[in-house]
Amino acid sequence: MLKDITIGQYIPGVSAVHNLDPRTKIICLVFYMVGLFLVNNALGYLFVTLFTIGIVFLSHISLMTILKGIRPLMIIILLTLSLHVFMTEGEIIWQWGFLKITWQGLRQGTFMALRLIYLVTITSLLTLTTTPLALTDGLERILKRLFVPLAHELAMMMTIALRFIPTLIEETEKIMKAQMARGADFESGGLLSRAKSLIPLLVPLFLSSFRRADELAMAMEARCYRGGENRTRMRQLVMSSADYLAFMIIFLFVMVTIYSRFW
Amino acid sequence: MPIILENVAHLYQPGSSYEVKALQEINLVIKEGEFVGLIGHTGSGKSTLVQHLNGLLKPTKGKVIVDDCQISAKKVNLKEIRKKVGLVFQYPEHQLFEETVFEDIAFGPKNLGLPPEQIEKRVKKALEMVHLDYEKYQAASPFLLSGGEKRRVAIAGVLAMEPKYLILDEPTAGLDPRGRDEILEQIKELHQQGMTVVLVSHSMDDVARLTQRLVVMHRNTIVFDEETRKVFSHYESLQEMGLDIPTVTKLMFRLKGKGWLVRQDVLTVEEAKKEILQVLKEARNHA
Repeated sequence: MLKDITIGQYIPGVSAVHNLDPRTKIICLVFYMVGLFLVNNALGYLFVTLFTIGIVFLSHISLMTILKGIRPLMIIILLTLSLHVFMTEGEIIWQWGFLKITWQGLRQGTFMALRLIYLVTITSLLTLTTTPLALTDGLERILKRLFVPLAHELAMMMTIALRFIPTLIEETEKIMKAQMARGADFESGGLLSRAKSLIPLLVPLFLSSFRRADELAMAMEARCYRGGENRTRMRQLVMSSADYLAFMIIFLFVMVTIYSRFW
Repeated sequence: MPIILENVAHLYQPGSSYEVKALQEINLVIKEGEFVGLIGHTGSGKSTLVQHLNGLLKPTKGKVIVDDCQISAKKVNLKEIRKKVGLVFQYPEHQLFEETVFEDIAFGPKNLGLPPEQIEKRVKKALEMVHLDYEKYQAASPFLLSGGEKRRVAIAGVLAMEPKYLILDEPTAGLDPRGRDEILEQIKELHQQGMTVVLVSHSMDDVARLTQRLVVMHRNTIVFDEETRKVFSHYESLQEMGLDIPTVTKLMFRLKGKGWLVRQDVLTVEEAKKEILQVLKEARNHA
C-alpha cells in the first residue's frame, strides 16, 4: 500500500537523458513547459506528442513506470476534461437536459488533459532520471545565478525532505503495525471514526519526526555545517557538448511551438 | 492449542524487481506454556517471522495456524487473533501517543470493546505486571517518563489485551543493564504465571538464562530448533553464522580446550561455578 508511493523516485540507468547535467534538465523542463502552453491547435499537439514520446524513449524509462506516476493524478485530469467538455459554449453536438457537449468543449478538454498528462510525464521524468542529490545541486546553482537569497538552504531543505520520504514511510508502517497489534483498525468505519483512528498513528509519527530532525541538526552541527557560506563541492557540475545540444533542441522546440500557432 | 507454522515462506514485493526473500521453509510449533527464544543475526528474518504469528503479515506460501484458526483463510477474525497473540515491537515506547499512562494502556482493551470498569481493572493489572505503581503513574504523561519506564508502560499496553501468547521483539534493546534485568525478570514472572512467551533477541546471555527452547535463524530460515542447552553445543556453526554463545558457556569451552574435563552445556554462572568446583575436587582426589 504505502510502498507504492513513487514521488521523487530515481531509477538508475545510462541514457542520453540520465547523463545530462541537472541544470540542463531543469532549464529545459522550464522551456518545455513554455512550449507546451504555447501550442493551441491539433498539429501543434501532434508535434508536442511526438517530441515527448521521443524524450521518454531516449530516457530508457519504461512506459509502465510513467503511467504509474500519472495514475494518482487521473482524477484531476478527468475532472479537467469533463469540466471543459460540458461547460464550454459553442456548436452543440449532443444534448441531454442541461448537459451538453460542444465541439469546442471537446477540443478544449482534450487539449487541457493532454497538457496535464505531458506536464506530469516530463516532470516525473526529471526525478526518475536524476538522483535527488544532483537535482538539488543543480537547483542550488540555478537559484544562485538568479540571485535568490538562501539558495543553499532551500536546496538543502529539499535534499533532506526527499531523503526522509522513505524513512517516514517505513516508520509509518511500523507504528501502524504496532497499533494494529493492539487492536487498532485503520481500514473500516465511517469518515469520522477513520480520522480519529489516525491519532494513534500521527502522534508517534510527529514525535519521531521532531526527534529525528533534532538529531540530524545536531549531527550536522557536530560536523561544522554552517549553511552555504564558503562551501565548495567535491563533484563540480560541468556542462558538456551533450548539454549544449539539448539546449539547441529545446530552443528549436519552442520555436516550432510558436510557429505552430500560425499554422 | 499451539501456534503452528507450516512450510511458511514470505516475499517482500513479489513479482517486482525489488523482490526480497524474507522467509523460506519455516516449520515451527509453539506449544502452550513454553518459553521459546528466537535468535538470529540482523536481517535473518526474525522480525518478519514474528509478524506472521498474529497476522500482521500473511505468508506468501504455507500456513499459519493459531489455535486451530488459519490466518490466511478468508473469513478469519484478525482482531480475535491479535487479542490472543500479543506482540511487543522493538522500541515499543515509540508507539505511545496518549496524554496519560492510563489512556495509553487502555487503548488496546478499548479496541476490544470492553466496558469501562473492565478496562480499569485491566490497566491496573497490566501496570502491576510490569511493577509500576498504579496510583503514581496512571495520570502521568507517558512522554515524561524515563526510557525504562516508557518501555514498561508500552509493554503494559500489550499486556492489557490479556494475550495467551506474548511475543517480544528485542525488549531490552537500548536499555541500561539495570533496566534490562528488570524487564527480563518481569518477563520471566509472566511466564511463570502461565503465559506462553516468545523472546526475540540477539543477546545469547539473555536467552540462555530464561528460555527452555531456542530457535536459531540464519539467512531467512530456521537452522536449529532444540533445547537451549543443546543449541550451544553447535559452537562452531553458531560462530560461522556470526552468533555468539553465552559468556559462561564460552569459558567452559576454553577450559576444555586447556585440558580441563568440564561439561560444556553450562548456561549460568551458578552452574559453571558448581561444575568447576566439582572438577577441581576430583583432580585433588586423584592427586
